[in-house]
Amino acid sequence: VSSTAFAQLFPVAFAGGAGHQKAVMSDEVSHDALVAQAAAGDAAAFRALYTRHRADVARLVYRMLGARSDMDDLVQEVFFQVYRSLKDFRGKSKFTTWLHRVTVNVVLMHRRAAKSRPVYAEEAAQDVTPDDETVLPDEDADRRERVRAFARVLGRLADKKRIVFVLHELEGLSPAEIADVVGAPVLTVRTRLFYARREIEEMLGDEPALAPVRASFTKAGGEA
Amino acid sequence: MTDKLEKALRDAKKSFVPKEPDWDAVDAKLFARIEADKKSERDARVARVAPASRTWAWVAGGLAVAAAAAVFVGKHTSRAPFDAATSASAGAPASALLAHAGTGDVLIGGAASAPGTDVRAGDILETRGATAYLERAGTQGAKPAVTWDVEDQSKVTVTRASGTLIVAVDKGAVEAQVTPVPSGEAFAVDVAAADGRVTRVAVHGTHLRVARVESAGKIKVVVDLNEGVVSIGTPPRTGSTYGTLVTAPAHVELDAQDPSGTIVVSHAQKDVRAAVDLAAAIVASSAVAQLPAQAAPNAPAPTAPAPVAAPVAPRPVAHPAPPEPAVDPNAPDTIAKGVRQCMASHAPPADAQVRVSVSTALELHMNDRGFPDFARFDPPLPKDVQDCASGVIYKTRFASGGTTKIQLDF
Repeated sequence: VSSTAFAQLFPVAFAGGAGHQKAVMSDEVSHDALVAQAAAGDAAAFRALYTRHRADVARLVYRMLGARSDMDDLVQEVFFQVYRSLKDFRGKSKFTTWLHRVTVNVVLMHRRAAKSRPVYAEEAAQDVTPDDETVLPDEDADRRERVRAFARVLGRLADKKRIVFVLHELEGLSPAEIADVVGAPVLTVRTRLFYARREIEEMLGDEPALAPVRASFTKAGGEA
Repeated sequence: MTDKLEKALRDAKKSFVPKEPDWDAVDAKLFARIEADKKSERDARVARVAPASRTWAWVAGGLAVAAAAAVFVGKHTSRAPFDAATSASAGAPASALLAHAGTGDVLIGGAASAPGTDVRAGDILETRGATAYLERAGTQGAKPAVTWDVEDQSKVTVTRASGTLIVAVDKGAVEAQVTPVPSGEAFAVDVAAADGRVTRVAVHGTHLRVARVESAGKIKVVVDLNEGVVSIGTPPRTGSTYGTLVTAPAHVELDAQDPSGTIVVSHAQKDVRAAVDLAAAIVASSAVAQLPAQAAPNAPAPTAPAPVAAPVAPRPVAHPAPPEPAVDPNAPDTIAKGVRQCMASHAPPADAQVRVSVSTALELHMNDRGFPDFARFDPPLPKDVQDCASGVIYKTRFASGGTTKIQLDF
């Protein structure tokens, strides 16, 4: 039996196939199997998926939202949407890409509902994770201020530009992956990224804590 | 990228992360919500097999018992792709006007319309002295996907016909009985505020009434929910409506200009408007429509005071129920054979050089009369195969109720 052919014919049966396929699975295939089992209604598989990805979702929600106030609810909403939509996931893209897409949509929906700009304010500073490598208190204070300023700058970006900037610069997705997440051509993603950087550069002047970074943005502009 | 920029981004990557959420709390809420969702699906299934709802099966007349049972699978197996609501293809009618009640007119696109008229996306329905009853057909003649009415003095625009049936209430109210779908939203009602902001009430299966009430210059959305769950929020660009979830029974009122800030929900049964039995109303209205004018006063449907000059309603009503299939002493074998035939005729073609083995378990639940009312393939088979198999499964009668599992190897 060709497992590849079988998988093409019956992707769900293959992935969740209850031991009918004896091939040794790599981690990636095992993860795919977990996704397929969850899609087929396996509660334990869904819980395992949730446990594996919840921290990543929380981080992305936080970075897009800029505040922690609604983060828990949105993480919950993301996985509820995953639970309801997983059966429609056909593996055309990576599960993580699809999960990013769901997360972005949930956050955007939340922001539209709130009809307000994100709260990239003092609250963000309270949430900055302590840096174990920082020894001196004043260094840590500087770093916290830089992150807080960075959050404020991000918060002033329009949704579309902020999404691509966060996904690319902070989450490490490629423009092609981001294109899949946001449903736009790669060229559009690169354009948004370019303008996001340019706007950030302009806004850096308003943030003294990030002033030293401004020059570096100027040099890096256009690079995607 | 320069060192300075790298440092800034490294800072952000490392530090622009949230403190660890209280995962126990998030877990508890998430899985409680999932359980509630599952429960609402189960409740909807119970409601469908309850005696009261069997009225509809009688109204549907000529439907085969098997086909009616097949609907049950689509409704309560969230994983099986027996989906009534997704059957509507692009360009298909959104609904058919089944009947009128009242002496006035039902206008579709400004023209008086008779029962039997199809309603499509973009059509505007207006009722003047009449209530219009409409229906979106289910799959292959099974239970209707959506049965709905447009109350008298209302104006409604059908905004979407394929996939989710979406109507916008410009004036008045609509009431709907929506057959649950395994995923997504079967029916949604939009109400626009004066500033253009739209509130959507979306359901995957329920009985609800949505009214647009103008008062003191404000537009209020009033929702009465008798069954199931609705999501009230802003229309999404794609996917499901993300908003406030409300479970039945509920009476909801909100200001269309500020839905989330003004929503008030009462779950007290006394506050919830009684549901109209739409199936019975259609039967009554159709019966009156078929009577000669002078016979109207004796018509069995007092809800329709005068006959409506209209063609005979297209849907047969009150036919005798078809005879039930006899008990099959070899029911599991019959089903296994049927599924194999479906597999042979509907499975995607395989490469001649490849031998494909498939194993699945068919889990069945039979009602007290021995008819399957739940079926699930684990793991699932291709949709075409399952659709084909449903025709076999629901025609087969077991000797008694209960559950069974049939192992199938192909």
